[in-house]
Amino acid sequence: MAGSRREKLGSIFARMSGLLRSGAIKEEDRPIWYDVIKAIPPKPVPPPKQVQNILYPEDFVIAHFYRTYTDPEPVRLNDHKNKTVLQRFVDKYFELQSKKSVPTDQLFNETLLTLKAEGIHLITHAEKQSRTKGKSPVSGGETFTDQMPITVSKKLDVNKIPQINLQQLFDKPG
Amino acid sequence: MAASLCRMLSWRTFKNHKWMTPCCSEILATYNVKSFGSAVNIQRCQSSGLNTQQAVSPSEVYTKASENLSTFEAAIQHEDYFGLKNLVTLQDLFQARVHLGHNVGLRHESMSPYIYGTRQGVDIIDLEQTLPLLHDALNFCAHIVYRGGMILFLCRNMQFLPKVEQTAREVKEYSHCRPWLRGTFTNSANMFNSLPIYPELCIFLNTQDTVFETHRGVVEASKLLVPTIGIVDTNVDCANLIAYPIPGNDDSPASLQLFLDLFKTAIIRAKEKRKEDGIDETAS
Repeated sequence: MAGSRREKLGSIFARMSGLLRSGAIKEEDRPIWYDVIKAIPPKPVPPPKQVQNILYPEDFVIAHFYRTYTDPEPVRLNDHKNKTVLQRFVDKYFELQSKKSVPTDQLFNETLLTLKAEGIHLITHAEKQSRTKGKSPVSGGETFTDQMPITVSKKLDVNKIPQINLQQLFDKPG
Repeated sequence: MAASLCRMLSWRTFKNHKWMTPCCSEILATYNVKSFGSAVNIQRCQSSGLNTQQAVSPSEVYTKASENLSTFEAAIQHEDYFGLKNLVTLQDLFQARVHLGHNVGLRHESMSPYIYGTRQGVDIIDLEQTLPLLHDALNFCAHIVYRGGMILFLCRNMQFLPKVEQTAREVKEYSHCRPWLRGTFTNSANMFNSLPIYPELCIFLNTQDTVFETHRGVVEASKLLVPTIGIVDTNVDCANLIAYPIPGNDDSPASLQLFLDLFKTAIIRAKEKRKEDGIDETAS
């Protein structure tokens, strides 16, 4: 082997240059990539650096919001027209902040009051939990009995199920 | 000593890369046939693209080679000879999800300069660094093809195997997406029982063999002085071995499709230019 097979030292260009300089490979026998790599030298590798976290101003508002409140209903991800309650909250918060009429420590409460005045119902984690418990007793730990399949089959009478247009459901949120 | 001789002979150089001796082209054919039969599945897509011109006398060869050399020189002096700079924008990269890296815990220290930041435990790659590196890599790839180089696409992600092989077939180049046998490059004289011809450029579409190991081809290409282009994700530990690393997401179908399309366009444009400039007489 004309050259060294230690791949960790130098670059392929440096090693090929060495072979050419020492005469191990003649100038006319150089590989075709040599001139190209000479003309388009690879960029030097930058030294390692400390990677920062990416944070936005709204992150702090969102974190504060979720400490007490939660999403009142599932979010429709394909709905780009209507804003979620959280998004409205964040927008209102920054709106009030830009007005500078409210002191900073009261901004959060002020935003809550404004949203409530606009008729948006916010629910806390505790409220949501109690609501889900009340809605579905099955998930609340009721044991599976032999009776259940009968009741299900009674409910699922094929003739009585109304035809639902799924597309319509997506078009009309809420 | 025999092995070293093999290696020396197998470089295709300015002197012989176009007007190869009959002996050499036979070797190319045996190499391809051999590799087809064995587990090493280098696809043969180019049927004697590097044909012989046996009727040319040596002196004629020499003058032709020197003519071509000046054409190559003029091409490489040009800043953007193949018009590849306008091929891709930062927006395209972003929409193809090239900026998404791996989980923070999987990061390799050497990749940290290419990372913009961490968003909720996921590394985000700095596309402003990726774009010039990608342009350089595409330009390099196109110039190699323009000079009659052979390209080998490598990818070990099974999901993308058909796409990569199809792309290689479309541009009449080669691909190797199957498990890499140790010594495919470094011990090729014994593995194929013939004088091998190495590709002029290896394009690694992902540089991991499994999630734990680096692709052995990266190391072997570096040992044998074969230039490499590689898409390096944030968990890759071999970015220093790759001549032209492109920091980017190598796991999404969208980003891989974008990279494949870019390389395909670069290769096609280079081959067209080759025909236009009258270098590639064998193709017509």
